[in-house]
Amino acid sequence: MRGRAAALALALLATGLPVAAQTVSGCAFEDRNGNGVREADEPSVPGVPVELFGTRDASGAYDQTIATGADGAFSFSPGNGCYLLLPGDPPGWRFSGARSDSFPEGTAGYSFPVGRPRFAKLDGGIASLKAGLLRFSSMGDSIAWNWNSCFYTSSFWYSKQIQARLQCVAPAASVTLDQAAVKGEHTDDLLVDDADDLNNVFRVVEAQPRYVAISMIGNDLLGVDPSGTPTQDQINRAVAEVLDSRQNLQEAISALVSEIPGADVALNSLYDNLAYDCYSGSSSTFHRQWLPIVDRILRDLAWGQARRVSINEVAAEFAHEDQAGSCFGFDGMICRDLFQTDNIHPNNNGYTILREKLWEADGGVSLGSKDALSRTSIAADFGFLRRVRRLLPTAWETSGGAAVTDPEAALDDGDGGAATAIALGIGTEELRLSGFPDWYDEDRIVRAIAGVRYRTAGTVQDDFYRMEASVTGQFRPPAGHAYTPTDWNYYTPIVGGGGPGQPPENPDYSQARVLARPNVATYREVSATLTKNPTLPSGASDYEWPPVHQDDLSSAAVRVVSAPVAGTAGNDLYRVELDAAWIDLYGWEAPRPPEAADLRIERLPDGTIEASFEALPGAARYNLYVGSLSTLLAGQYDHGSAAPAGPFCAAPVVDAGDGRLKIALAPAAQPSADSYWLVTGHVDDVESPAGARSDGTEIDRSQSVCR
Amino acid sequence: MGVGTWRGVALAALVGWPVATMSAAGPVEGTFLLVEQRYGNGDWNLASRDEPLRIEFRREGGVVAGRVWAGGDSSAASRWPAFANDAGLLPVEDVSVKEDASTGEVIARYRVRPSPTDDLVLEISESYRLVESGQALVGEMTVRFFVEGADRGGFALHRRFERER
Repeated sequence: MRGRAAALALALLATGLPVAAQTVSGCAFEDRNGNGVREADEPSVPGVPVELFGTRDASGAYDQTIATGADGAFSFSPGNGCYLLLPGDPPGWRFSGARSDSFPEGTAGYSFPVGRPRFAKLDGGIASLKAGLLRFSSMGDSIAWNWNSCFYTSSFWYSKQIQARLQCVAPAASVTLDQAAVKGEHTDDLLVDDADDLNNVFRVVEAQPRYVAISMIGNDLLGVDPSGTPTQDQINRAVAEVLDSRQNLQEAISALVSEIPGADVALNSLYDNLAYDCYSGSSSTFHRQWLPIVDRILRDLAWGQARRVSINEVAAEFAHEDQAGSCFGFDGMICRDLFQTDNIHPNNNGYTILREKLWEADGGVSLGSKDALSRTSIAADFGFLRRVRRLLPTAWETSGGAAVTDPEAALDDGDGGAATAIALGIGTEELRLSGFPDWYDEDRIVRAIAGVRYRTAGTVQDDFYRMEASVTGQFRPPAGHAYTPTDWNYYTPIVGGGGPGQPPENPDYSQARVLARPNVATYREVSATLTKNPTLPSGASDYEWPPVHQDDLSSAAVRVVSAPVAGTAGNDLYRVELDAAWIDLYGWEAPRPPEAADLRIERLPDGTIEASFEALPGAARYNLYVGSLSTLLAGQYDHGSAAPAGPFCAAPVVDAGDGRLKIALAPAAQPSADSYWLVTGHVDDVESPAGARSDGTEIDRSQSVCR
Repeated sequence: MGVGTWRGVALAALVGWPVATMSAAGPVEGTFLLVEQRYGNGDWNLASRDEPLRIEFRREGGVVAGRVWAGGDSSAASRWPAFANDAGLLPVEDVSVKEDASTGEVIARYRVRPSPTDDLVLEISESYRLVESGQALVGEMTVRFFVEGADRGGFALHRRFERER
């Protein structure tokens, strides 16, 4: 039904006929693959509050909130005007993000200057406008500045356009713009504590804007991006900059999110037009291979913040270049001035696209004459991902001489704020937390977020600390490692930027005074999307990004580690106080099968023991666990990896008749002491419960090791 | 942008031109084709193959004078230094052109106010010198951005021209 409505609207638009409906409609759905696009098998999410707030051309203010229906749909009929559309996150859910498919110019359905709509939302924007004040800070480099050598427009043109649109939404409010960006700067500059401009988190945090947009082109790569067929040394150097940029942006954005309560933050893709400039034939192996990775890094970086940050899929609107050699360039969007002093920045059409993408990322809706295409109906779908589980570490260890007090406190997120204190020095002091539960096999993980809640005591002077997560527990590659597109992602930065002198082989801003916000007086939550290396199946056009899997969790770790910069002994008398660390799993849950019922044990004359039980419908395999009776009588279980016999995973079963199956255990395989026995089965790779205690609570799932 | 405007600017610049002297690589004279243009230390060559840029230096009364054009039609050349967007030339102001007597390097400095509605002022310098063989011209174009007098960043283009004549 919705598909037909969308097709009708598109047809009317294409033929230039007026659309009388003047509607803002869409749906909320469970985005089970996290791509922002609703697929046929993705369920609706009813009951999501959706607010449309703005000003009608004909009759002034408009502010309505409705809940999505049973089919997830919502629809407003406000008339032409300018609005912000805001679906609330249902409790326990998180907006999955704007659609992330590629529809470049020339693709069917693409209409300059808007392209495929990629709606995100400002979570606090409407509230700020209602309060009468929205201060908007435009940070970044030449892309935020709106620079090009074609000079069609004034500086900060598209930010001023967004400012004007926000003002249109709420004419009575004051909407101001900080023109903070500085051309030519790297991501490091966002972390430099200086007073020359507003293009750093220190000054922006002081200014406390309600909306911060960071737009960057990728100057970090400017001096190191190899052309032609690069050497491994060139690749390693460039990848070091990519990873440094990720760390810098994680630090900058997480500081903005945590230090400006309630403010909305948006990140314009750090796109690199050289990557997609394929008309000229200058596209290089490095750009083709690595720029899609950079784009994905940025999407993950935005999504994993403690408060989700909007990401604008600018590159997708400009072009698409894949790993199979296909290329849809966007040469027509680049400023080619007469004397060729540019050849790198968007022209006015390119910046118009940026304007539209930023507006869509705000949840901005213009109907009628105020819309770039004079549309009078807009459809915007919003996908959501549910947090299915928060995993806490169960183990800790120190290394490098780290002094730690109350280490168990960091393993407990319900201890009222009790913290593990870590005194870090100028060496390799480290506290590592691991042992994340890996047995919740019904969880279908789409994304995972690693987070910490911490503060510092004392003052950090010139030697800092870092927090990071790793899926494998190996936080850095071995020395001399050769980075490849499918082997580079060894850690996820959470806290602690690249810092002065990073990366060591190509330091940016080595003379800068401070490149981080190290002193944190009160508890601060910071998080980041936990990611793995991409894969590239043979012949595939695009990378695949495998989500974190249960199997990864047993090796995953979060660590707090010294990050000495100056190496000055004795003057950094501070402690990092870690209240908790966690991994949040977002996705959905497959149904768990019931217990294997009516277990009966029988010893045969030849000493064989048969365990028979009722077959589980749909079970593909069964497991037999054997534990020590003495352990059970002590109130514990030991049928897992420390079992007195077995465990017998995927044990051979035979038909016992009457819908029953049996597993036979020969004398040699049986335990030598009194024991308890359990049988489980797997349905769609989800293991059935091992049973319940007498009080009804489920038997320790960590013991079910046949995964 | 009319012809008269840049002539007026160039006239002011002529006052500051020194008499040319020889450098080790010889005076900057001849016609050169832009073959390399890179941002900063970047590895990417951004020189256009479709509309190649040419710059020509010659002696006029003992001082160096230049002109620049894109594409093959030299009749469309503009007096150097010049700045343009893709719609045409922009006025250049406060032009100074010098020739370093010891190195033979030619240096132009000028300002551009790209938008009448904006406070942005570009401070630009271009410097070129011959390589030892005399067969190429190398140099740098730096563009700094000023808003209400405050430096708001910039960029540098590294250029290499090869001699045509």
